Amino acid sequence: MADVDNPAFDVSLVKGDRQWRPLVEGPAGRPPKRLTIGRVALYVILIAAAIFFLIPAYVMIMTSIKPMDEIRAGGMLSLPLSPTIEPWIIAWSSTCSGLVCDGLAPGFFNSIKITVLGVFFAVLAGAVTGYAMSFWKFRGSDAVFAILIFGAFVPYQILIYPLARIYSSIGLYGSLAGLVVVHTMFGLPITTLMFRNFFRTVPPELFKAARVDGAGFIRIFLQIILPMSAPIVIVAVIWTATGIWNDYIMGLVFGGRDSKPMTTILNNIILGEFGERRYNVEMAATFITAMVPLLIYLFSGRWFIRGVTAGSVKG
Amino acid sequence: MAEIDIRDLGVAYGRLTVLEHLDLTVADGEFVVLLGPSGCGKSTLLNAIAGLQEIDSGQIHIDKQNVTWKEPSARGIAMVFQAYALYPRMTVYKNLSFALRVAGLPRDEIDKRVRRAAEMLQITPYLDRRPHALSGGQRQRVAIGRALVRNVDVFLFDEPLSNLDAQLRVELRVEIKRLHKRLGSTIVYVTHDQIEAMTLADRIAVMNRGVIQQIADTETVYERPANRFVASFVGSPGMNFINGRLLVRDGALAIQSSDQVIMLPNYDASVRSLEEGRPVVLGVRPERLKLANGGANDSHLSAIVDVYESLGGERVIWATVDGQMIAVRAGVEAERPTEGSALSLGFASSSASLFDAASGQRL
Repeated sequence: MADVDNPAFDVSLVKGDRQWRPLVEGPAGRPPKRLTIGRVALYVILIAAAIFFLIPAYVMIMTSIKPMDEIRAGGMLSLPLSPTIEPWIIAWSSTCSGLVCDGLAPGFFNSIKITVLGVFFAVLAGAVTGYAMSFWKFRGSDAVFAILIFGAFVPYQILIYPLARIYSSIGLYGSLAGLVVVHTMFGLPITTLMFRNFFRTVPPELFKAARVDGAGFIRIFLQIILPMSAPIVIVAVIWTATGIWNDYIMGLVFGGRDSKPMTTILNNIILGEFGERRYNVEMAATFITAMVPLLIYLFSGRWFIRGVTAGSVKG
Repeated sequence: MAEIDIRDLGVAYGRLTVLEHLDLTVADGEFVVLLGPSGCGKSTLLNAIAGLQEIDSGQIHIDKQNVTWKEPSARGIAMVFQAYALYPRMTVYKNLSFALRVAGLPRDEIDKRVRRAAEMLQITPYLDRRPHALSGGQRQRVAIGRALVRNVDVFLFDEPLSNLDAQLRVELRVEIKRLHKRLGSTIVYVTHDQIEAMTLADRIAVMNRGVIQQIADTETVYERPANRFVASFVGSPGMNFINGRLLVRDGALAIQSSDQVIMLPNYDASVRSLEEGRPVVLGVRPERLKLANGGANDSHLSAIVDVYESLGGERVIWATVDGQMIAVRAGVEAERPTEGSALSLGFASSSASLFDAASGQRL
């Protein structure tokens, strides 16, 4: 409400007259910028924390581009005198893991296959399950959901042995398909939870309108619900992709000889070296392996935050 | 044609019974409004008609067919929701054509129907926009259009105007009325807004606690409410109530309140054989109370002025009768009474209502 009695209130503006009258007294315009001690302290702490967490990454990168004699000379933090990308090439294509000397490359492509397929099925299964449990409720669907979520808290170590026995009896053991099924199963509870929570924010009337319009289970999912689920799909993809890419134990147990993920190969490279340890190659190999999740976060962090907070703001 | 016939309908959410033994018949081309406070079961009833709410007992017939177990899309109905429920990732055109595409209609037929509906609702310029680029009023027009393209005979409206501001509400209300005239379709319309109900409806079904309290045209619901709930829910300010005991004087009814006898010489009781001394409640609409006696105002009562309100076009005088608050609607020409002064009021006993104090039913 405009205060008409206030002399600062400019009546002429209301009438469309663009002439400004001077304001009478007191503060006006933008507040002055101030640098308080609190602000300074905040930045000091933030910068210190950033340095603390960045030092290992810095050491890794520097070590990976130094020749071995420079590393032997010590000085972890020093910049390389004669930088080389040789260790990266060795790590990628010719270092030995066990008896095979093909570098990380085969593992990298295995990991890509496992992650793409695993993410696709885990996210799709979670989306469909969450959709069904949000919109097509049946008697006991909440109980089924609770049991499913409980699955997210079961330590997977206790399932490895029984699962391995089941797999070997049905012929899935040691195959890419088997590994993808494992990742889908273990990813399902958390992706279902994500999607169900997201669908809670979708007005049920949207679903009702689609049913009156004659659409069925699959059409409503594909044409109405899925197109508006981009934020949560992105979150689920990032989450499961990181989990599957970083997985070691499942790949080791269920991957077999031909579909070992990158992490198991990296482990072999580092533990299986004889003689002098080539720190630069190890650092390069580790960095290559860690690069994928790092890049995912770098390029989709914004979407991740947006998806996590989706629904809290009117959208 | 498309009449709706609901027989012995029952709906429960777990142990909570929402509707029980509910019967409702809507004639072909009739505009019926379900009016009631929130939680009275009116939306549940509408959803049951649409097939979006599972029912526990009873039958629903639309257009002489038993659709009790039919899918919503197979019932020959279209529905408009309060929150618009437009598909957010589709353009207005795609929203309007969705049901037709699902039904697999030929493209030129879809285009014809979409353009006709858009024309009717004046949303043609927005056909390529997404819902988020529309105002509330435009969105609700699109939602109505989505119902129109389906060429059905029954429309169900679930509080379609509640999300809009007052001015738009009036505008769209008139438009809905006009559409009904033009299409001649059967409409069931849910609202908690009595003005909407009274202006739109051929018949109003006033609901409370899952029961239809009264179903009748606007005048009957307003002037001859079936019980105290209907009397108090419809009208603003609400009907005045005065407690008392029933008397019979010279063959006519009267009531004895704590300090006066109010004669009702021309009250048309629907219940015969009323015994004296029965606790009753007299109901009189604020605008039926006149500041003058005599003439058609064959009943009178005295009150004490409490507060005086001016609403510009009319005046409301709040007064007390035996300690019970009543409102009197007076015209602008009425003199301003002094607070605390005695007020002599007259009203036509034929316009009054008499309710049983215990059951609340009209006598």
